[in-house]
Amino acid sequence: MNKREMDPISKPTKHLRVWLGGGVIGLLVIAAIFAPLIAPHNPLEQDLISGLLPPFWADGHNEVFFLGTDSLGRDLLSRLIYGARVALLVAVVAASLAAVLGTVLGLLAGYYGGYLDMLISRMVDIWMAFPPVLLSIVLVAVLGTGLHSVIIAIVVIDWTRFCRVVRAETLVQKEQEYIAAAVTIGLGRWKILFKEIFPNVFPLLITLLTLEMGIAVIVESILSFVGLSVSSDQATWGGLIQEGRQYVYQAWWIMALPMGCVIAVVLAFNAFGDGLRTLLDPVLDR
Amino acid sequence: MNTVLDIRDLDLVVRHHGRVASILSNMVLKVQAGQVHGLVGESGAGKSMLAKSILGILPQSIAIQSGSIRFGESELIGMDAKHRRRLASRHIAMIPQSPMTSLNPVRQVGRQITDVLRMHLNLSRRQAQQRALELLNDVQIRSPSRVMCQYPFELSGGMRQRILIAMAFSCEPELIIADEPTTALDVTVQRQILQLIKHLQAEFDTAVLFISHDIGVIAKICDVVSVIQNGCVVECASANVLFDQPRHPYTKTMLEGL
Repeated sequence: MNKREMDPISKPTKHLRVWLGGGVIGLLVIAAIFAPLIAPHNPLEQDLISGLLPPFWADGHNEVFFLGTDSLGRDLLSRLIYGARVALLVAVVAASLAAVLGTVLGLLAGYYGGYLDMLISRMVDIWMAFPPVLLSIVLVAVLGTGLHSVIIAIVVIDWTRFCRVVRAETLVQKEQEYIAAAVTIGLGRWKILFKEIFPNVFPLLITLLTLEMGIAVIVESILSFVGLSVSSDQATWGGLIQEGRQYVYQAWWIMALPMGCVIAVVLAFNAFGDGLRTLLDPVLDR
Repeated sequence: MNTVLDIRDLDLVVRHHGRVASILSNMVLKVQAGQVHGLVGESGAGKSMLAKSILGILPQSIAIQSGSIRFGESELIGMDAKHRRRLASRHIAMIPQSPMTSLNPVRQVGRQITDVLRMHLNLSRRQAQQRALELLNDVQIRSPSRVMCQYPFELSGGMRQRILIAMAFSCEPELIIADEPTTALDVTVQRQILQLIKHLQAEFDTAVLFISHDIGVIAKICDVVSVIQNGCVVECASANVLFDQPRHPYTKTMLEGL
């Protein structure tokens, strides 16, 4: 109640983080959903005469292409906006699926213990011994390129993060006395797991989920950088970085701008998740 | 008078790395209907383990070796887990030792009370809410409707213990096991809580097994007292008799310390 007065520093910064992070994520969402309306050009439309035009602040820029063009004269701003679609889709779908898979396995391992725990934990150990980027490249190579394989690759690799953390937290929670109390009241195992333990793990899960969304954006960029994501005619940030790399001495911004987008989005997800965790925790919030 | 709980020759052992140590041996205890039965003994005498074996929540390393725990007409030992849980959760309630940690920290208090009511009494959401308010009133919580929407950390230890007592009495069980219910509370609150338990116990005519290491607390509330030492009951008598003429030397030492 009077925590607000007691702790004048943490409260505003917490909100600042949520607002800043949420703001950037909001922009991303808007850009992704309304890409056809916002984008000034068709991202695939080539204009070979006006290739490698600089952005608005540099000499020789063209009013029509706000952030300049790539080597084929495609509008960079439009390509960035369309790239947000892929980034957001992968972030939300892959991170959520990884969260569901990891959380269910983590809860089961932590709560039931014994052989089940051993099985799941060893699986996580083995999983984490693989270098993640290499594994994802192999996976996508096997599954074939495309958005669905990128998503599957991220889920298959990153469920372990959720599993480990959720398992550890479940172990802590199940020894608490309110669980013993719930047993004497007569709650069944599933009810205890999902009604008593899960809500206590939830704030942590939100943080992990948003962190994971940031990671998913990076992984998608890496995969499209090496050309294993969506087909090359679709604009992605990783693809833009890859294209820009070839012209980095003549037109550094082609590479820098999508990199800036990735960094901003990842930072936003991290800040948002961190702020949200404290907001969601009834003890920390009041 | 009906016997609610009848424990005979209960042997409890702990297994640790292949070694076996006895916790309770030849434990005998009888709790009559409507009575407050005190169980007093020093820390480590096996009091809480007895409570846990009645409730069926013993840790895995601890096993019941022999003996019988009869609750009413049914034998609890050897009963299959599902039946036992159904029986025990409905008819035996617990007031726990530490009010600070015995409520789920992220769920509103009201929900935790209505959960119990709805599960065992088949009440609708609204009926359960109504009943929960009455119960909170019974345990002398002021502005119960506000407390219902609060989280446990917003309430003091005494308040939380009142809530846990309300939950224990909520389904009108035949037996309540109060495991050191006042140990974590300061002395003034302790007295109020004892009065509250006594009052509700008389009102609902519930049998209470009251566990404490503090013979002073036991003296205030119990009708019958069992003294336990090293996992064995050394003396059992009605409170008046026990406090006037203790027979066992251990009881005498305890009373001298009072």
